[in-house]
This record gives sequence, C-alpha cells and structure tokens, in this order.
Amino acid sequence: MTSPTLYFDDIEIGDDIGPIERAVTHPQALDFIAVWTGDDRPTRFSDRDTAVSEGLAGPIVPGIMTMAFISSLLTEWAPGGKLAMLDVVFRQVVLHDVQHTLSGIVTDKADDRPEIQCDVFLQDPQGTRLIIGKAALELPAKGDL
Amino acid sequence: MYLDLHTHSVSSDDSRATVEQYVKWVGVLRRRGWQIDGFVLTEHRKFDHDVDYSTLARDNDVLILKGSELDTSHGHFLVYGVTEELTDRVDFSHVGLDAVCLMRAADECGAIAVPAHPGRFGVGLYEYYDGADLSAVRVVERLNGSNRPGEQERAEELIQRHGYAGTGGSDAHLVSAIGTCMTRFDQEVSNEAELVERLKAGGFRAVRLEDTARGGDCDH
Amino acid sequence: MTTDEDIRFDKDMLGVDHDAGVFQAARERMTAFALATSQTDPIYLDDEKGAEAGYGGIIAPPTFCNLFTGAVARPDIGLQFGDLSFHAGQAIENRSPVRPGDTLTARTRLKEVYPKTGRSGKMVFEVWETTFTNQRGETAATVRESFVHRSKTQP
Repeated sequence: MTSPTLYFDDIEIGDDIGPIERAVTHPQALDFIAVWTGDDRPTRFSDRDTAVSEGLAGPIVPGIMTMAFISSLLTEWAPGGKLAMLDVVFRQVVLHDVQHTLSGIVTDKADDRPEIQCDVFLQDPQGTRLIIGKAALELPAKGDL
Repeated sequence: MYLDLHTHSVSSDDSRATVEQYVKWVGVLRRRGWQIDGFVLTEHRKFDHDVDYSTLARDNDVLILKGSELDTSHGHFLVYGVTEELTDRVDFSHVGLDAVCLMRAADECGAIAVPAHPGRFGVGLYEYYDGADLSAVRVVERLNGSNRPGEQERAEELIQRHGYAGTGGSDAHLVSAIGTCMTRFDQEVSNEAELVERLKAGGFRAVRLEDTARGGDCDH
Repeated sequence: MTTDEDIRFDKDMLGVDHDAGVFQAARERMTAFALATSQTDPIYLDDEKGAEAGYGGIIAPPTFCNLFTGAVARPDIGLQFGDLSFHAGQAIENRSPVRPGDTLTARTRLKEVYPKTGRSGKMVFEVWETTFTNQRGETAATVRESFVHRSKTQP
C-alpha cells in the first residue's frame, strides 16, 4: 500500500472518491463464483445461454462481487479506513467484460466520531448508474473530536 | 425561488438519504454557486402528518415541505398540499389507486396531484392514455433527475401534445442527487398551501441545477 | 384491490428470528475472496501486516460475510407472486473483523414484504436481515438482503 493515510480531519463534504475503472472478465467471474458457491452448474452469472433464457443480455456479475469492488474503491481511497457499512441498490444488471466506472462522493461527517458517509456509484460506459448506494467509513483522526 | 419538488428520504423504502443530510448538501450546492431554496419530501406511498422539520429548516434557511408520491393506475403521481381529509379519503399505501379519482380527491381537499416522470417506462403517464378522462391533468413533472434514456423525450412529447405546464424534481434517493432538477417559481412559496396555489396558477418552470447559476437562468 | 390483496405469504414469519446455519471463515476462502475481487491490501493476505495493523494476523475483506448469504437457510414464507426473482439490493454492516478460523453463527429474520410499481410493472419486495455472530459472541456483520419478485409478462 503506497497511498498516504487519509485523515478524517482532512475530508470535506463534497469531496470526490475515485473514480476507478473495473471490467470483470468472464474467467474472473468464474473465479469469484468458485469462491462464493463452489458450484459450477450454469447460472445467470456464469453461462450465456442461461442468462439469455432469463431475458438478460448476457451473463452478469454477481451483486456481492460488485459490492466487493465498491468496498475496494473506498478502502483504496482511504488506506487505513474501515468500511463500517455498505448499502447498495442493484438498479440494473452488470454485464461481464464491460468497463465500468466506480466512484463516490462524501456526503456527511459525523459530529461525534471519525466516520464519514458517502454516496457510491457504479456506472456503465454510457454513464447510466447501474448500482447506487451509500457507505460509512471510519477513518483515523489526527486528534480528539 | 428554486425548489426541488421530488425527493425521497430514508422514510421511503428505496432511499438512503436523511433529511438532515439533504440540508447539508443544499449548503454544498450553495457554496458551489447554485441556487436552491428548498425541497419537497415526496415519500413513496405514505404521508406523515406529525413529522416536523421546521426547526431544521429555519436553522439552515432551507424550505422543507412535505408531499407524497403515489402509485396509480396511470403511473406515479406527486401529491402536494396533503391534508388529513385527503389521507382519510385515499389509501396512500395502495399501489393501484385510480388516478382520476386521486386527482379529483386531491382537488377537493385543497391539494394537487401531478403525474411524476410522465415519460418513464412502466410508471409514466405517457403509456396510459387509455380513454380515461385525464382532463384534470394541467401540470406534469417535466424534468426528473432519475430519467433513463428515452424517457425525457417521451415527457417532452406529452407536454407538447397536451400543452401541460412542467415542474422539475431530482427524484433524489441519495444525498448528492438533490437539486439536480428543480422548479423555478416566479413568486415566493413558503408552505404547502402556497405551493398548491402556485402550481394551479402557473408562473413556474422546470430547470436543471446548471441553470440556477446566478445570471445563468435559461428556459427548457 | 387493496395493498395486500394479491400478495400471499405467511405473515407470522415477520420479525421472527430463525437459525440459519453455521459458517466457517476458512483462511483459504478469505484470501481467495480477496484475490478474486482485487482487494490486495496486505492485511487481507499477509499475517505479519495484519498483526502490525493490530488484528493478530490477516482479516477478511469488509464484505466477506456476503459470501455466506446465498447458503443461509431461510424458512419458506409461502410468497406467491410473479415468476421472476432478482436481487434488488444488499446492505452489510461490519462490526468485528472476521479472522481465519472464526465460526459464524447466522440468525435470520424476515423484515418486510411490500408491493410497489416500477419500470417493470408491479413488484413485490422481500427483505431479510441476517446477523453473523462469532465464537466469541461478537457480532461480525449484519446483512440485509432485498429480493424483488415480478412477472415475466406484465398485464
């Protein structure tokens, strides 16, 4: 980890987080599924035909895999920070092999503890927000609040 | 003055923003040079007569009004000026309200029901010109901050075809979305009753946040 | 039509806690999860770095407990609506770090079932909340999952 520590004291409401780019390749999705379920039966997450039969454009990235990416967006932005909460809405599906942009914006700072809240987004190349949500991150503080 | 006429707080099932956080974000927008005077909380399928934001509003110089967004046979409707008489007459939690009856009941109770995001697929008025008497519709939500591709065009088509007046609202479900679309009123609005009066009388238009830069106001 | 008229499910299930299984936080699975999701902070992979950070060794990345939710044993609530189901949303609240060898006991409960209309027509949402408690009696995480049910063809 090379990024410097980000302190609660240095954050302002309105600060941008990221963006970072992420594309989940089909093999990466399969690797994740192996860790998640260990089941190699075809599903909407792993198999094109199954996905298409369910009305999807292709196999999709599991929601909890995208949550892990959003988590890493935050912890890479704030090394030493702890993700206290992540709450997302899966508005539209995330397809394999598409470059998506993850970003966030700081929306609140707690008065009584070194915790920030932020909105988080995962959007497709057209700018459509496929996943939206909010997160709470505990950060190191320089002194007592 | 500029009001966001369509916002959801955590009281709505799918929103993640608190009212206090919206108020803080209004402060961010103002510091960035945008104009926003307040917002209307339009929680999904409910109305809380008791919740009172007057202290928060006063302390932060932000107008906070209450309305509701209801699910009807003709898509979603924003209701402003909700009274106890209206909530006694209409079951706000019902997801298949008769839109024509809702508009009539609202009018009779001193409120107004306005089609929300009329171009939206599935729940916009655009898809429901099915012979029902929709002559009571005079105002629709012209700009909605959560539109997807194609939906704004449908809203514009509807407005042009029927000559509706148009409001603007962000449809915010997250803090940073508030104010992205708003309604500019020629006259001041200070409470729900005045909001209804202004919406019935005209003298407003839909704007985007970018249009609110001082001296940069432009029409849509 | 009233709000609940065409949504049938066992309402007695609302708010009732159920045993939902016991899950092991295996070291290999923790590191495989970190690598499969490009979470390469050494505290997830290197015991020495985890110890330096005050955890006594590696810890699991923050959303690790999400992995267990698919295997959580949920009682059948008898919900009859639509023929398609999707994952609509998920929230995870992290309390205590998950460490290798932890045994996590899950308790789950039905939070709410409610209808709404959206771009894809009428939908019913089913929300569950699951708490994972480690062998030290500490809550590791609480996960709220929301599922949406709808029909393939809307009227």
